[in-house]
Amino acid sequence: MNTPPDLFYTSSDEWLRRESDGTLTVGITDYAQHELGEIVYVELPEIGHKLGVDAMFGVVESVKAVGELHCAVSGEVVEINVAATDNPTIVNESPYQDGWLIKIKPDAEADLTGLMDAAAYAALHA
Amino acid sequence: MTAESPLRQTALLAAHLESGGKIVPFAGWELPVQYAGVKAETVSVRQNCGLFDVSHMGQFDVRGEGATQTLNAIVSADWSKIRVGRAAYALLLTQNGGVLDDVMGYHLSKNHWLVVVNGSRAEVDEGHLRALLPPHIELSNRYANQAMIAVQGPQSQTLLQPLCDANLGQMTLRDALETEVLGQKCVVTRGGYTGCDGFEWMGDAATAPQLWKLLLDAGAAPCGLGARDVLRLEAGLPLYGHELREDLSPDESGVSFAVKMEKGDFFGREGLQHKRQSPPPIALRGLQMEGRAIAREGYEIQYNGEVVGVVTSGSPSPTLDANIALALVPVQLTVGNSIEVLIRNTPHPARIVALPFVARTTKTSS
Repeated sequence: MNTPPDLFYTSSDEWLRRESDGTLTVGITDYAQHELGEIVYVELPEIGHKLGVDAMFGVVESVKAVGELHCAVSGEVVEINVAATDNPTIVNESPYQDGWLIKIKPDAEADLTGLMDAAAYAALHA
Repeated sequence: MTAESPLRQTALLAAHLESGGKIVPFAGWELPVQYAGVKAETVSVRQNCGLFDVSHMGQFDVRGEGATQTLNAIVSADWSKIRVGRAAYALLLTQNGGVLDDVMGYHLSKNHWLVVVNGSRAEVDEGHLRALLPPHIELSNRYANQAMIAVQGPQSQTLLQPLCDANLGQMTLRDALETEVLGQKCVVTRGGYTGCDGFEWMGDAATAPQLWKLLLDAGAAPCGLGARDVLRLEAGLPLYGHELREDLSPDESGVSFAVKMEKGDFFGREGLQHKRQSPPPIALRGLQMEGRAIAREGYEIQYNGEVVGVVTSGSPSPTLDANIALALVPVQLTVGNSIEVLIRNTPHPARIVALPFVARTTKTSS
């Protein structure tokens, strides 16, 4: 299981990355994509959609499973990864890079201290 | 079966783990949901050959003088017409004409049937049968030592034949023989639950791992419950607990072909006759989604802005590259009608299509 060190992780198997422009990129973890199996459908919110803390913002689905997506931080969706909705298997192939899902502009200076670091997340699924 | 009950293990559990099967609890058993992936396994079955461990299915030997007539007074289909060496589909009905289970009966010899039932219903069915069978008809549950492997797909005969005494080329759909595989007595039947040509082997648990391994070595792909569910859905076949339920009549579930009222009395006939005094308000239909969103079990169906029905099974179809579903809708809605499936509070258009979704390729004649 691949858990890059520079990310924050949730117990519902999303990752968040703090970008230099203050936005946060959100995706699902390598563990999550592996558990789901081949992803065949990705549903993401519209740009401009406002998300509350832990709000469901979409789904990733394999043939037999539906994985709900939750965002740990409140904010506004400023970008979605159309490549992932067009070609869902990139989420399997590259969950941390090409298979990212949304970027949000957090409502306030995002407090990520409640999230797990890579070591804690890896331990959760050890 | 409560969540705390220990799960039963089939004779093939070690083989599943060795092949990378992902094991889940199902109908009280530990079974693989997938190996390489549901899509790849579905394609293997449609194009080549896939193996399924279906050892969780309930297997009951019913023996005794007049076993055929006795069973015929329990099941919905006319088993008096099923010759030795043939198998038949039927329903067990509740007193008031609901569906208790759907079953296969294999007429193995005069006065001997093997009845195979859904794993999730095996206990209910056994109780039902025991309550209705007279004392001189013996029912024995094979489950302590049972195994069942479904070999499915166009290459099934080629892969299974070298291991089997019977001439498989002479068998057509729903032939059922007592024969030998790997020198061990067993039952082999032509058929399955995928809409493809194939065979089912029912034999001793001790033989199962070797048979499984030899078929894998010959080129069959190990397949899990996920692919089995997709394949049966593509073939438009109902599954107990989804399309078939005690609170639905065979007419509503689309299985009235398995009910022969004219054959004489059978358990639940009167209840069904009573239900049939008014036409069924709902019917099982096939749906194909217009877009990419996937209909799943439990999602509501809308027509003219009103909720009128519910999805009973839904999945992407790897064979069709489309999203398909079975749904209970008002009987007036039929092939060609457009409806909407409510997915996460958003209506998604779908149209009602003919069943099966994927044409069956079973071997109905030699």
